[in-house]
Amino acid sequence: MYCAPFEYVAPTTREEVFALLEQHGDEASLIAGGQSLVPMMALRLATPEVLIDIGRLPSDAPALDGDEVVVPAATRHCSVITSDVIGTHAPMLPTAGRHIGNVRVRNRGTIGGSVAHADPAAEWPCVLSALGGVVRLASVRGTREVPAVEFFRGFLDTARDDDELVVEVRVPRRRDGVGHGYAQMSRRANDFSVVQVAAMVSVADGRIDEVGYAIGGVAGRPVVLEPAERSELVGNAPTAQVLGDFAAAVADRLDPHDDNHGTAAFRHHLARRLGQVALCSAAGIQDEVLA
Amino acid sequence: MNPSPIHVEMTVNDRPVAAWMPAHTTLLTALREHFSATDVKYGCGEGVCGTCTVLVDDEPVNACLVFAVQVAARDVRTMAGLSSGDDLHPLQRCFLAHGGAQCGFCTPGMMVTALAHAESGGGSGRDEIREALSGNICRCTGYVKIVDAVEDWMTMSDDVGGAA
Repeated sequence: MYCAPFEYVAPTTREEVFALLEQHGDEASLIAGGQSLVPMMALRLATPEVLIDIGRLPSDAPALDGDEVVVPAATRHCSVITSDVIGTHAPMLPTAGRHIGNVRVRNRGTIGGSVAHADPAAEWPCVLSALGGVVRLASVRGTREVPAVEFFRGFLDTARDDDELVVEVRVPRRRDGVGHGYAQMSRRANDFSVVQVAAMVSVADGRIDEVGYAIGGVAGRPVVLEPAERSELVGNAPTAQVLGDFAAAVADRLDPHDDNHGTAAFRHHLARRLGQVALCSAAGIQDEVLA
Repeated sequence: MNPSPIHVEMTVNDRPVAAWMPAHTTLLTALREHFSATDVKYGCGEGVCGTCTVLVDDEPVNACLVFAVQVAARDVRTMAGLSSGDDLHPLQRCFLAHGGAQCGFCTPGMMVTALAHAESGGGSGRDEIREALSGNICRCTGYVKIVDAVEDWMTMSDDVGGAA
């Protein structure tokens, strides 16, 4: 399988990227690591006439900015996994990142590319949605931040406009008393996940006072909790029973699909079990059902 | 559409190479068709099988999922760079000793993936080796012998990244 021909440009400044996007519109595709785009091009599912390689733009290292962890869009998955700043202040990211593709994909693929691609089975959309992360976009019109829960709209569909560049993602820095948990099931090591759950649990004085939760692989975008659902957990002591019951209740409200990776019933089962595992992990308690 | 060709230079197994090619030429095609590195094999062409793995600046990548122009001026290593003429690298000798190659098509990707795993400080435990090789598919079902070969090589020498 070979890609269709295209014109290649490798700008070195954001201003050049904006000008190219304006000039070529939807005939152009941005390429960073290319680990999602190039397979689509090889299968002729994507046939851009112009390929704008943003791999030569300067990029900063991940860093803390006040109460947020800033991950520049060009940060490769392998660098997210090994970053001390991210590991210390947003430990869900390296945990989830280790599930992405295989070593080759993690060496090339970037967090910004994955976010812009918005595959419903991908790790970053689910993680950002659970943590209350934001996606920062830039264009000639300026910059704006879109909460992850609004950015991911559906299957390969995001709030990014054609003239915009994803420039960074931000997640809240983990406070004391907050735990991160993540669990997924895939058919083969490093394959796409069937279902994944990302959970953030904050505990104060032995009671849950805040929860973040997202389920991937059960809809076209990560499924997140309604405010009323979040409050179901608040005030409870974090026990395996409480967290398991909550995961089950959330899973029962899902309407997952059948496909060759799993039936809807199997996805319901995974959402319940992985939800309990992720929540127990976030709350720092032993999941006795699994043990 | 007939885009203008691009001049691409890189280093392949310590050899400086250069050629004009269309931008849509993958690193895999460039290596095989332009730079005579036919030890690199085309497997699936969509990043699933790991067969075309090469090292770019010592990191494994799928050569089918990278356009050559994206890695211009970089340092590329393939399996053929392991040996010096008939003088095989210890990893290659271990593959021979354990029967780690059957049809041989996945072998170039297996070897450079194993090499990068060891050079980057990966462990020599069987589980770690299996995890490292998990994206490299062998259709002769020879995984046990491949893991045996890599394990033997990694445990036989403290200097696993050393030359042949």
